[in-house]
Amino acid sequence: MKRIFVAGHKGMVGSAIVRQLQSQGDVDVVVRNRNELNLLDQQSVSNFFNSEQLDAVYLAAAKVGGIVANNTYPADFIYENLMIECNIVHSAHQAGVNDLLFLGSSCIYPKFADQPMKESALLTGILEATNEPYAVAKIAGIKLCESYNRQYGRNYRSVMPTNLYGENDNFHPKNSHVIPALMRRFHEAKQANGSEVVVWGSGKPMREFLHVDDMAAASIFVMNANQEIYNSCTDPMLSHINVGTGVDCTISELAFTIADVVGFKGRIVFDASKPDGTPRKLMDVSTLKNLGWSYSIELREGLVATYEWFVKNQESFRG
Amino acid sequence: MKILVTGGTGYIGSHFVVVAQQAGMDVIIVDSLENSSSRVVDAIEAITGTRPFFYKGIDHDVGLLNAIFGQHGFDAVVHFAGYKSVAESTVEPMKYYRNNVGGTAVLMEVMRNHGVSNFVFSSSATIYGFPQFNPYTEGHPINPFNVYGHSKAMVETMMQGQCGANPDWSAIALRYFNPVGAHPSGDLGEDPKGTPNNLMPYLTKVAVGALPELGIFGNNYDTPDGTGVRDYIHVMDLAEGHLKALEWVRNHKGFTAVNLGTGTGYSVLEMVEAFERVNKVKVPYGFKPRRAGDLAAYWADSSTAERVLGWSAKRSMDDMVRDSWHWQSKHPLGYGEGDN
Repeated sequence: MKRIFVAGHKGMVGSAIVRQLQSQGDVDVVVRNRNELNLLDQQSVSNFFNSEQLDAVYLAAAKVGGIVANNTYPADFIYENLMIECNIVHSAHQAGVNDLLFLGSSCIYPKFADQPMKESALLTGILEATNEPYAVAKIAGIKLCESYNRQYGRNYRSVMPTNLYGENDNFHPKNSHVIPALMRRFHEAKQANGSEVVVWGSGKPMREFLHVDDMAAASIFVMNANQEIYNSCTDPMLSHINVGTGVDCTISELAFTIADVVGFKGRIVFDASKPDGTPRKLMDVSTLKNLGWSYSIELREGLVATYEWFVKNQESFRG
Repeated sequence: MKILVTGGTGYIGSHFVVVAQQAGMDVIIVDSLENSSSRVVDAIEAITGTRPFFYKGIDHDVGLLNAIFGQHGFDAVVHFAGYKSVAESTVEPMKYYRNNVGGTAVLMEVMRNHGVSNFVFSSSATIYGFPQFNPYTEGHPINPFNVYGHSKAMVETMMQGQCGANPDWSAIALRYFNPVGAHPSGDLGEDPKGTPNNLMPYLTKVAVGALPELGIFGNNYDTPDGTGVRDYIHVMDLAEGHLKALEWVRNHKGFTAVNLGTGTGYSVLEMVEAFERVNKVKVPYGFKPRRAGDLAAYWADSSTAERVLGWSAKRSMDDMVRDSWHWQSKHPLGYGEGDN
């Protein structure tokens, strides 16, 4: 039976990958808590890989956070992410693990990249300043994988997800992403019989959202994709693959859909005095489609499942 | 119907992919991009609204072919991929035999192993060699006088062998005359890397100012105006001919070969004059000595295509020169550099 290590198994994506691998049944999923294995410590990671006889690794561990956290702790973001990537990729290689999937982020792309963003947009322009250190670490992760492939013939692949949502998301009232934030606000307004929910911004920007179970499925698909076909769809120095739906919607569409899913009957007000951010952010997913994978969870369906989970886990959700 | 198209980002292949998708076929392209751009896939998507599957690779990579055949169940293979410079073939013969002949042998073997038995092949009128009579019929002796022509003739021989050994096989060799023109949108056309070898891409590059002058090789041939006479055929007509060929392979068994030409010859000077008249641009030209290996005049007997495939070319010389220029003037740099 294949022994597969999922680094970052507590996170939203890592936990979804673990659920899916376990449901497949024919694999032995290896996970370690923070107090069992410190991914920032090179010696511990090296010892872990040398003793575990692993066949494959999903590298879903990362230090993540919102704009405020990225701005306040830039050193932590770049240092911890670089260390996690270096320790895992190098130790995996030294222990003879041939298959690894690195999970990145769409923030690797330049601030003014053409939309939808193609993989080839990488390193063609300046990054968004707020999370630049984090993005640079993620870009380094891609290049780390490619370099071990080029020098040692390893099979280390990378996937770059669009905005994700779903089970195990962060529902913190202040520093969560748009879907959990709106879901929580609509939910609380419904419970308090509130008549109005204010949504920041004009509602006009367009964004793409992918359910985390689709992300996990895509990750496993890319990890298992036939080597020849994978090679024919990528280049040794342009190997990362975008993961998204390739479909976007406006924030106002999103807000009305969430309100409907939650059952909030009041008014939705868009506060256009608050900043909108970039007008459109969408992944070009033609490489992934070409490999043979497309998303299957429609936004509404995914929101319904997420809301069910949110309601069921009122005591334990993050935030 | 699901088809594998090798060389699907090349000049003729890309135009075929457009008409195939518009006819409702699922297309999977394999192309090495050695002589084409990956932007062609974007152009096809822009025209048809559907992005074909695209794999970068060569047709003698058994591993890749097996993987692709395993992932997609094909009804037929349309095989455009191949090197196509007569001049280069005379100095690098093994490159041509390895790729054009060896690559096709591998492809047909993989097809057989996966139970795919319908095959459409890009052959060439070059295989006829010096005209013993004109127009060429399919019964004209096969006697190529350059390596490129030999490589095409050898593949036809292999196709006959494969059909002889496998009665369920159906294979058709389409013997092209001189393809010119572009998709009427102006967003898909011929974009050879380096200096063009053929008249039309050279002519449009002169017209757009990228090259100073069109050199016409020989003005003392035994033709009405002394310049060479060819059977120019619009690439969209050619593409549509392949749709008919696919119909043929699905409804017949065995091997056949068919000329794809208009059945009419035009001289180089007639083409230049039509180009200037239709597009209202000047094309400076000068006469140069005859080029070794060039023939004076030949064109197709296109009656077999009409009888066997129910196909004949519909587009005129004016369509050819207009669409060629539309493409070149809309995209002076072709698909652009550096995005392979």
